[in-house]
Amino acid sequence: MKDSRRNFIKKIAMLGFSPLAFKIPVIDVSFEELMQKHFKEMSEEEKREVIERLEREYKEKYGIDVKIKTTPAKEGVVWGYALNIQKCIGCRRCVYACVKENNQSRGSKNDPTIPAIQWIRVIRVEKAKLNPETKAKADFRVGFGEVRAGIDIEVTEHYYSPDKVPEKDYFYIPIQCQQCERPPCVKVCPTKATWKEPDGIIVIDYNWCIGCRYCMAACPYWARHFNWTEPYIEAEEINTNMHYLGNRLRMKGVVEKCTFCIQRTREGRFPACVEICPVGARKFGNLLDPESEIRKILESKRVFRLKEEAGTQPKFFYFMD
Amino acid sequence: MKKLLVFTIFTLLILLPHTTLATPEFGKKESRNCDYCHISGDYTKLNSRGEYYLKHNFSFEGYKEKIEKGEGIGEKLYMRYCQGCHGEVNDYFKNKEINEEVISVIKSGKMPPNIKLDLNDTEIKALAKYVGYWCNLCHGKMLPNPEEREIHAEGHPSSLKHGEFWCLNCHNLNDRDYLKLINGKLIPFNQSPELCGECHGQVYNEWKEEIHGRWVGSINNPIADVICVDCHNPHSPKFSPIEPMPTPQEKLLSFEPANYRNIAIAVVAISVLLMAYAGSGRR
Repeated sequence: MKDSRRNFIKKIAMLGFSPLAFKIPVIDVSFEELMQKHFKEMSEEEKREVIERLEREYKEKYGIDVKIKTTPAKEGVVWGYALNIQKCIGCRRCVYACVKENNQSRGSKNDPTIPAIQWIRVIRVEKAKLNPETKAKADFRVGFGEVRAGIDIEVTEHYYSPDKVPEKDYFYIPIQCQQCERPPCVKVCPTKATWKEPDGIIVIDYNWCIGCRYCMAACPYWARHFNWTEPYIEAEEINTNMHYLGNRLRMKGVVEKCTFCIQRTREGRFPACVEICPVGARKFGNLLDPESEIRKILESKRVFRLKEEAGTQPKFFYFMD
Repeated sequence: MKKLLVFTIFTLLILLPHTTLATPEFGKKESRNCDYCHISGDYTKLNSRGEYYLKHNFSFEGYKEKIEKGEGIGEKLYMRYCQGCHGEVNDYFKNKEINEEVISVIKSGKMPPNIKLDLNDTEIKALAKYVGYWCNLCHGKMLPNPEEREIHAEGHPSSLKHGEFWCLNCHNLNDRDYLKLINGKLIPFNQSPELCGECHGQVYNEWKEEIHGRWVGSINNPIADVICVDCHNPHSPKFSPIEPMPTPQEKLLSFEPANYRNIAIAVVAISVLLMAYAGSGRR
């Protein structure tokens, strides 16, 4: 009996220490990371330390040398985006250029529970639904007096896959972060992990995100995406040109979204989606510069914004010729 | 009077064969065209090649081409073998595309000086690249035919899917290195947007204001040297459909208002029940 009691106590003790024995990570966070300040409150010295730590961690994890920047916003610049829905052919080239540029999770081929994350979502809309003479259907939401036409983007087709695009009776609306001037996602964040930069880009400090996903619920554009699992990305596919607030590698349990390719645009380059677009439907520029192309488009074209009635004032404009 | 008529007829009879079949025996012997030894356009003068021929007992033996001027291999080869007959390449076409037709013609041995034997494959390729699809390479040696017809020539656009057009609506009949505007003004190929703009005025203006087209380069210096035909094929301007990339995996939350309504009803019902329960307890 004595023997068995001793054994029992031993077993209990072993059970208690087993997390240590099997190295089960209870909190997989270094002390520095735990004590890290909010990005906006960091001094230049502290920023440099954090960058060094991150670069070291990525080197350990993926075995690659990366360059993480903290380039601040330029003065007199507010970025704006314009997309020509008459030209867009729905080919999704932008979606995959974005994934490649911004180090999103590619989705594991072996493990279906690790999904691929994409910041751009292209929806397909029937042209007939924009015709005022079409009879009202369930997904019509907007009515102007007698005229009932328009689309409710919440019940449109995201998963279309024809052999060839464009299709005859459809047009396509790519949706990504609209970089709202009055962003509801920033309003709801309990930890102030997301905010609007002086150049109008909404950014996230992934180290301050607690993964509550309030911002995802607040966003009317499906712009924010959550890392339900540890993101899966091959080391050789990682884009080593990174920005702290943009495309640096994310971890499990944080929200991410489009930042107008902050690592590119703050250096004067176009976002990846603008560069890849085969039909030139995507335009990007400084809204404060009256000579910029984006301003000329806003002045001369028929422009609309998604869900204007929500009062979010997006800086992402859709236009037609 | 009769004498004068006979005299004119005789003169013409003597002169005509000489003007039309003026390939002298030197040309026949060397199987060269006039431009090889004479200065193009002014055949009363000889070029350096012709002068050498004249001074060295009507033979090219020992003659070395002055090829130092050319920059690339293609240009040097062109100056040595082709420029004599074909003249100078229009700058617009130089080093743009490899003209496959040139390669096959040289390899077939149709070119008068049998340059096929002298050159290896890389050299022929360099030559074909230097010439590019330069119109006057062939058209400069052909009689213009303004008749509307189907064109069957290798290495030449055969069909025109651009409105109800025919080649010579845009191309100039007599010098194919130029395009022709409606008012008859000739413009070189690199100014082609002016021609496109004659029909597509609105797009042309937008392009000039740099709001039409794919954006390349940096934000401060967007469309750099990109003209209409860099993206649109002028002979078939319609883009063909392409395959879309795969569909997204990630499923998004459905925000259908109906779902919200059910949730709202449930929340209200539960809170009413809770309040009723709390009220009953106090009593």
